[in-house]
Amino acid sequence: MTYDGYLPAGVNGLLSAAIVFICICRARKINRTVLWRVRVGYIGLLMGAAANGFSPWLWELPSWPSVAFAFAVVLKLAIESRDWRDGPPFTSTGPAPLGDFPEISQ
Amino acid sequence: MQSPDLTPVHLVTIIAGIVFGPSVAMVVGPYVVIAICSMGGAGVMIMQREGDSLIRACVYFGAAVIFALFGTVPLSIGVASLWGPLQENWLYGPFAAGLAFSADKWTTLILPWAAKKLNKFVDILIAARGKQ
Repeated sequence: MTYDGYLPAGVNGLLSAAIVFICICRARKINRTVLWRVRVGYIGLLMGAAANGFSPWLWELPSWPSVAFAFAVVLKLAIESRDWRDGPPFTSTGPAPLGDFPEISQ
Repeated sequence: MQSPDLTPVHLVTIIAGIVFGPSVAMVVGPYVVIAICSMGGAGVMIMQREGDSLIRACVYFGAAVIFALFGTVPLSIGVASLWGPLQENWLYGPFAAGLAFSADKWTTLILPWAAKKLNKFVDILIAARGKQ
């Protein structure tokens, strides 16, 4: 194997590590109000990114298309980071109890 | 005499050939599966914890994964030896996730519970001894 074969594996590993790190950041901000499907999605993304990064040791050297997809996922997560800056966004949490609205008296 | 290739690219290629090579993959392969599953368990653990700083969350995540990496294989071999048809390879994934998920609960929940049970057992032993 030449240098050309290992370069995408290294870049792929770095991008997958970035995805895992972003997932840890999101998991830190996830609290009791966050929906189950959002939590399951981030756990799946974390494990999938780990498997993608470890792929040279799973008998599959990644190539440039894998790098492109990993970069796309990092880009999407980076764009979403504005929504998560102040905790989970309202689209990831369940509907608020009606009592929380000031118009409705208890 | 031909001089050896001393460029950094050649050096990195040789190191990558050793690190990503099949001989390393033979040994590291099961541990990669354990690492992936333990990252899932550690992620659930981080989601349950609240009020951590980012550095603290990363330290807890890494510690949980390392705990699972060291604990899974002995635990799987031990449990698999209890029942014949059970193979230890099947237990790596679930045990890695479980160990990483429980990593921050040993000092607060699991060990005190075990100590309480042990205390009760010793009390029963003392009571039984006193009756003789």
